[in-house]
Amino acid sequence: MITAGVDVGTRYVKVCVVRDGRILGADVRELAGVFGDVVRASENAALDEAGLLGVQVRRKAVTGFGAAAAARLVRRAPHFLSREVPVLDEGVCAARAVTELVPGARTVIDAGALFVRSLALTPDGRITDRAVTEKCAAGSGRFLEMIAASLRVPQEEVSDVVATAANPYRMSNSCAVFAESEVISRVNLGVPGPDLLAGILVAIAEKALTLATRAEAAPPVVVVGGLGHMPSFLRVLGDVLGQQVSVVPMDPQLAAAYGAALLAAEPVVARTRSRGA
Amino acid sequence: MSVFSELRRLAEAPHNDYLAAAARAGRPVVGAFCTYVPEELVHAAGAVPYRMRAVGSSGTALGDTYFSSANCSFVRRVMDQGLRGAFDFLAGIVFMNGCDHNRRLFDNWRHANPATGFSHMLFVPHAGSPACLAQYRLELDKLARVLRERLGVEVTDDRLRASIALYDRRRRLLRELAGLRRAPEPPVTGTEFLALMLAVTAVPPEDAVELIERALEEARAGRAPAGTPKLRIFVTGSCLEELSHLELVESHGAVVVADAVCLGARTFDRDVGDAGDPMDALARRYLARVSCPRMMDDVKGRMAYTIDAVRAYAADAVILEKLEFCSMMSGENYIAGHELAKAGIPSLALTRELYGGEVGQLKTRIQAFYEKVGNRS
Repeated sequence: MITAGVDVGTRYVKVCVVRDGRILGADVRELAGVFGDVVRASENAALDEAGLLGVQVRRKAVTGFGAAAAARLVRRAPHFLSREVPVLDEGVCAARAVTELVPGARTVIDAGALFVRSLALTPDGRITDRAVTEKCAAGSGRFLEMIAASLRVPQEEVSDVVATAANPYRMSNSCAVFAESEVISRVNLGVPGPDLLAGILVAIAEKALTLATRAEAAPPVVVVGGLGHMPSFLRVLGDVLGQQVSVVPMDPQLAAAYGAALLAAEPVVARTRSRGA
Repeated sequence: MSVFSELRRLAEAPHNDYLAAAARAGRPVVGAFCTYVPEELVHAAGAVPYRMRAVGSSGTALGDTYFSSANCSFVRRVMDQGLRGAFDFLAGIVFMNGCDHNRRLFDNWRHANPATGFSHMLFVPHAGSPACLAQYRLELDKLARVLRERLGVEVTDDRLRASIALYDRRRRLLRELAGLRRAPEPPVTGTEFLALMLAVTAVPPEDAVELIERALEEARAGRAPAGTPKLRIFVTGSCLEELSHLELVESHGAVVVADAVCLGARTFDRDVGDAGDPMDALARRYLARVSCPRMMDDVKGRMAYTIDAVRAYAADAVILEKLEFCSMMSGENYIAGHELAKAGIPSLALTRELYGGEVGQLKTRIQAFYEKVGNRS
């Protein structure tokens, strides 16, 4: 069965078209401009890559911060067969992707643009506990983006720049806005940019440590989400957690969309009525 | 080496050689969370009282597993330190119901159960009426029983009188040193005084007395580390232990000459004395000394203390310190700002996170305030 998963995050839209667990087509694009246009464009791009038409997708599920809005959109312009689009929890989707690709994983750390999420799993992949960052952006990918922009470091160079840090600066603010001011103060006091960026990665990793400890998470730890692209983050996270961490063996940013597509094929989810209208 | 350098070294670490020596001599160390926990009682039970602190804290990652970011940074950092084993040298901790954050700290501490010995909550009434005094006296009896059960030492009247005499001596010496700051060229800066307070509340009181005497000797010898300050500042607040923050306050030619903070006047104001039943005397002193905003019936007393001290120490302005999410200091600072304005005393309310890095914003606000105060004269 061909299914699709749409993950509408706070910064990016991710779409995965899947048949029997195999990704046929996928797309990741920045959520900038008109919401509906971006989501549709992303869906179409994933379908094009898969060489499919929308009607060939039997089931679809949406997840992410903007999932409810995306579900409403699909119902209004149904170019997929099913007009009932279940809205799924991001954590459940991420965990589903991890259990598919890394059987036996006990902890999933989802480090995305706005939230960092820690999920504790049983050996057979059921979620036993979870913890998510609180109301603000501190400890998220967006936080890193803000600081990188303040330091004029392009996003794709952050990991390499952090690798040159000699003495990571310890951030003392838990609020991203205040942390940005703190960074500017420290730049003026002569703290090198790489040390500040490394400090941000440590701050995010420490958030993940807090959440993983709260959720009583165990090894092995698998990372999903956009920050999984960053080798420096994985290294810092491993240091902070005091254990080896691995990244999910796919584009980590697509993991939740992939998990949503997998879940869309499952009978329980297929019976779920859409919500969030 | 100047004793002030040694005091600074002691202030900057959660543990020190004096505590190690006490442990080798078989004296347990017992942490105390508030100035309403009578150190004399802990000392009379054969232990070294240790003022709990977040000194040396590197973050709140583990503390945040128990607290949210809307909790005060003091409890989050102390919890973090506790979970990382920084207080494993303690034989026990006496908590106190200072505020909701502290109460939850007690709950979380018991749940997490770090290797810090026993945990006891001293319930201190929120007022100083005769009924509250009687209740506080009962709570002290209960604390004495807990200490006896945990440490195996009976707090007899004689032991308690000896401890009270020692602590009264420490208080007199601290008051004498604080009094020298009235001079036009204060012999001790606010940062140095805070370092001294951190140090003397982290070593056995016998050693503390000796350290203060050495500091007094140096202060009397005519030192003036900051010369004649451009501005003389009075600081109020509750939890204030960051030397770097007071250094910021004392930048631009200002010097802190007096305070009403926990690690300051609240520790050394008023003696217990040697008259009557020592436990009664202890209870009276702790409920009668300059109070903390948690005490609900003494706002006028605190305002009067501040205004009197501002005049006695010829302070030009007051800085009202508070930690983010401290609701007690929020209310207190609002009242204090109005009362000080009525008395013609300029004030600045500063909100910060403990060991926060908001240097830029704080510096700008402090500079602007000093400029405003400077323009008045």
